[in-house]
Amino acid sequence: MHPINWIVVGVYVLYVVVDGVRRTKGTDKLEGYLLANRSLPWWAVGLSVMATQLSAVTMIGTTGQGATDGLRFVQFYFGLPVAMVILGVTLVPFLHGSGVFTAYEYLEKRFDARTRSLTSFLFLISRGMSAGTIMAAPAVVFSAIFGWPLTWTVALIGIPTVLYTMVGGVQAVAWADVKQMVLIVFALLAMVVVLLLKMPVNPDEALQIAGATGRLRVFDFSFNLTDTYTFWSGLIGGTFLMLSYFGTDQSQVQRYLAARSVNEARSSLLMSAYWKIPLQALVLLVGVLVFVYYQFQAPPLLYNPAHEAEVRAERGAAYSALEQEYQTSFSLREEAALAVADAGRGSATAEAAMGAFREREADLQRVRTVALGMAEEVTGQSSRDVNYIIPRFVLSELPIGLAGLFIAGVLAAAMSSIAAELASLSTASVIDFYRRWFRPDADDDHYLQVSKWATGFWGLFACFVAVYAATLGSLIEVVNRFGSFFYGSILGVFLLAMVPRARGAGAFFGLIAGMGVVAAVTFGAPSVSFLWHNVIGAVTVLIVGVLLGSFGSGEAEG
Amino acid sequence: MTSPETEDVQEGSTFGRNLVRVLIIQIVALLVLGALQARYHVL
Repeated sequence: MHPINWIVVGVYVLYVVVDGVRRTKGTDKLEGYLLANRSLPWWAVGLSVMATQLSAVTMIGTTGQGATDGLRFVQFYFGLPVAMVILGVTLVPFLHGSGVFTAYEYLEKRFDARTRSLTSFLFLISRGMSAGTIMAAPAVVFSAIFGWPLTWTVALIGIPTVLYTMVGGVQAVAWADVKQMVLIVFALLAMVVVLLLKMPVNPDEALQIAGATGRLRVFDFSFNLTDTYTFWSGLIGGTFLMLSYFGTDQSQVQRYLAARSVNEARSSLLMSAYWKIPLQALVLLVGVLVFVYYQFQAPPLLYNPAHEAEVRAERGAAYSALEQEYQTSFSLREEAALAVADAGRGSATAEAAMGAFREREADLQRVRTVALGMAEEVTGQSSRDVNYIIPRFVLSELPIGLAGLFIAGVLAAAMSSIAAELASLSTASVIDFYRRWFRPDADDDHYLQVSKWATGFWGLFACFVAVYAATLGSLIEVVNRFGSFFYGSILGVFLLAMVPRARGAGAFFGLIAGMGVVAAVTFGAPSVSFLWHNVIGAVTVLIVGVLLGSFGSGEAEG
Repeated sequence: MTSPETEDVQEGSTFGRNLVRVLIIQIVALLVLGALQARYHVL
């Protein structure tokens, strides 16, 4: 990468750390450190919520998905605005009004200590692992792209994030998120402009080419439990997933607990609601435009440079022959793409041009499939290279400065997500376990110090998981799968909290029953999309909880 | 200085305004995406 790009990345990382470390005003008390003294304006909380959710995987993986699969992934987010409005009028007033530090603390006030401890424990194990995998995804890509050891790239992302989160607490995290969100949106918009300027066709023709391969299909109204990307899966399953994520996950809840008031907390969620779908569409559109750009500029046969180098070293002759075949296929497809652009829409000529273009595209993909198979044989690793499409494009095609800005944007996205995870993991460990079970009578200063050390511990843990992500692969998969068992069920417990007759036993056993039913569906009907697991888990907890509440003795709880 | 009641009304109206924005932006976003599909999607 050009030195100017490195300067852009370096200046940005330095700025985030220095600014974060400086934002220690008011963080000498526990509430200041963990909840920014509940003083943040709604728009800052809203941007922070969005930045937390937009991870590095969104910047490199989702854009890559746009290039290979088009816009239909946006349907996944159709439930988000609905969930935000529901949370704004239900859970947010409960949580913010009860003056708690963690969402799980509220469950003890409403139900009992065991329900609180179990939900918080489930959060800690799943989020502890996911903080590592969130860090691993961009670290692995950067490692392959720049040829650095994985430990360096993990350190590049992890050390600055741990530093500013440990020193500045939630206040530093939230204000860093605001800047990171601005940088991310600017980088994405700049990419769209550059792509449109560099293409030899106008925007209308570019969209015509993308549309000919089905990449501009946004809506799929079929009702199919096995497909994640349909309108109904997104709207119904997505609503439950987003209700769980934004309503019960401490990494999100902690953001709006830091808002000045209940109304500001609700407004912050609505801000995320109104920008999420347009932002996600923009992310995918960048990918679609990269696909169109590569109709006129030969893309690499293998996007992962590390795999490319290994295949070249081991099977040089066969790979070169494949590259020649790829080049021929590319030239034919380029001609076909130009014919689509020239033919316009609706005529028989246009139909014929699109048919020919799709055939050429299929030919090109056949050559790539052979190359991917070769990479898999040589490296012994999965050759899936969607996450490398955008970084390769950025480094080879974007002007100097803008490439650095995009890499800084990916780092920003990674840092904002990891920082939120670290702050919430630290808060849940200290408030729900250390203070609740081990040292209930210590003073504020003690908890503040323990929280800082806990942030550092979780940061180290995340770095460890990220470095060993490849070897921990099966363990991480188990944890992720386990996570999907209880996400909807935890939402069920929070929904149950709003049912007046519900009691502690109903919540605790409902949670266990919900996880059991989701596990049974996962193994018994593996084709059902994970989006529906959240619906099943939440509904099971509600039913079991209400039934146990009805048959209970009416003990006075909550 | 504003009274707590005035602040509540102001905050309530911020929430209301944001709710209207959510509706308008979602409708516009879905219409734009629908128009893109209607105009360009041919498979």
